[in-house]
Amino acid sequence: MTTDKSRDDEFTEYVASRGGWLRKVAYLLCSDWHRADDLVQESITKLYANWHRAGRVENRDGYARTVLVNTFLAEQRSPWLRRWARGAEIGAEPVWTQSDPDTSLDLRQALAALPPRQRATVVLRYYCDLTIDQTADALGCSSGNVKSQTSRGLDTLRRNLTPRPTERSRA
Amino acid sequence: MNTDQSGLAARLAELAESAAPPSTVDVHTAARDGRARVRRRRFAVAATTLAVLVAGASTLAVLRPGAAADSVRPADGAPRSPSPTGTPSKYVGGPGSPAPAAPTSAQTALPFSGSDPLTAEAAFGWLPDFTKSVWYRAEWNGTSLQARGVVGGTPASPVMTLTVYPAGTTPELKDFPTGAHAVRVDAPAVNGREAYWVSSNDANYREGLDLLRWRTPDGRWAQLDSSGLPAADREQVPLRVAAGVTFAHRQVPLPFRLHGVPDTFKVSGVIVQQPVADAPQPWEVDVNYAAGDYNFTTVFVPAGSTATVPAAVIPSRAPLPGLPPVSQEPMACGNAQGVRACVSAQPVGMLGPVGGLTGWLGRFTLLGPDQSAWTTGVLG
Repeated sequence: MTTDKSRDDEFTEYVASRGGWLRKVAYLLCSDWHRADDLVQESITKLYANWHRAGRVENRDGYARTVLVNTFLAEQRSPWLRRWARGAEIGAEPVWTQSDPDTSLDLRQALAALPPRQRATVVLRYYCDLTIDQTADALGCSSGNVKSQTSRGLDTLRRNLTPRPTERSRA
Repeated sequence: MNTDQSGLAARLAELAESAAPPSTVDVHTAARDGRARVRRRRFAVAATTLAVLVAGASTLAVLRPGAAADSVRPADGAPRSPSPTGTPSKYVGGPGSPAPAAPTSAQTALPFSGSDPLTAEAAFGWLPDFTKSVWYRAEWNGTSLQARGVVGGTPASPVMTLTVYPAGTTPELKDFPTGAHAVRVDAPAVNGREAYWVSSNDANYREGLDLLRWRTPDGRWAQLDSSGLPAADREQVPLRVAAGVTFAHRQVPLPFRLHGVPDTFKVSGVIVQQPVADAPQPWEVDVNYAAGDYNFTTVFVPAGSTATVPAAVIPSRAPLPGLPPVSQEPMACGNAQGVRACVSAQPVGMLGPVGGLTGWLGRFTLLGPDQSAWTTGVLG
């Protein structure tokens, strides 16, 4: 059995090496660095509580990433719980700066505008470079669902990232 | 992957590399909290039908399902097993178990009788100077009352959670998953009554535990679970807080009346934040309702205070131009009698039976910021 001391050392070493990567994934999911930190903090806490399980899986990074994404999606389902978790710091939603209505949205805004599951699908597929099947595993859904979420997410991104001539012409 | 999608991957990578503030992620806090969760999970498994009623100095309180109190019964009559330590149930899914599906309204309904979802069985008395607010929460699977503070402006804020076990329930000492033992360590008597610390024979667990239990005047067990306390306070502050706790059942006034709610809408939670002393944060009351498989929250704050209104319901978070409706979180706010009420719901269609967002707000009668005008006749 792994002792608590060695478990702590192993966990600390893992977070030291992979925390930055998890933070980037979290940022793409929630579009706000402070929220990303909260998300990573919660995710690694879960990771620690299940470290024995994480240690048995072949792909520990994949396991951590799944924890992160599921934590993100769980928060989206329950703003109530999210607010409780964050205590008095209530500004839990992404903080956007209003984009110029005459130009396209920037990528961060466009990504944040996607429904959470579509956003998670896009991030897993195109940032984490997961296959459809791997994404389905991470999200706990079917491959067909990943395909449809990806398609809709990309359509929305494409639409929002494309300058709108009618609006530009108003200027 | 076509060219567009390759470009997207590159842009995502670029975005992820954009300038970021220093990380506040704390691996040691994660390890400490993770240890605590392991501990609580272990305890929770052994928990029997547990009712924990908590209350605060400002006469607000919450309740646990299955409480022995005469006014408190689970909606379905079934026993539940919340954590005796009042662990917030915000993330019930572990890494190996993807986040659970959203519970149905039947599962999330807050058990209460009468017209007030908040009752009190106990109240904080003395609290340390660092206390800034007292939070109360009621949910279908557990409740908590917390005294929250700030010490030295650090993010690791002290939190003390007060719970009370129902009559006849004796909290157990269960071993930890690693094989470490939970150990009872006698504590100085609290107001002359039996008290002990929950500790461990394992240094890691021992270091993370500041958990005091003591007998109430009527023979029940109360518990104060503390974290983030300054090292010098870890023993004396919980003992003094415990000595100041009083026990009495009462209903808790809220700042509104609500009428005309369909039977299919169930109160699924309440959060109350009460500032302590000169804390800058105003009071806030949040009420969560379940409508079918969805939940939505209505937030009440003093009119004019924007600091605590969640961004999700602040009008300044205006819809971004060009966004599809599905990605926007519908919201509505209104002021009356010096109170600001905001509701947001996604999907907004869940509020169809009550006339949408504004229809829902229209069912509230706001009673003003003066707490002496609040009522226990909340629903009906």
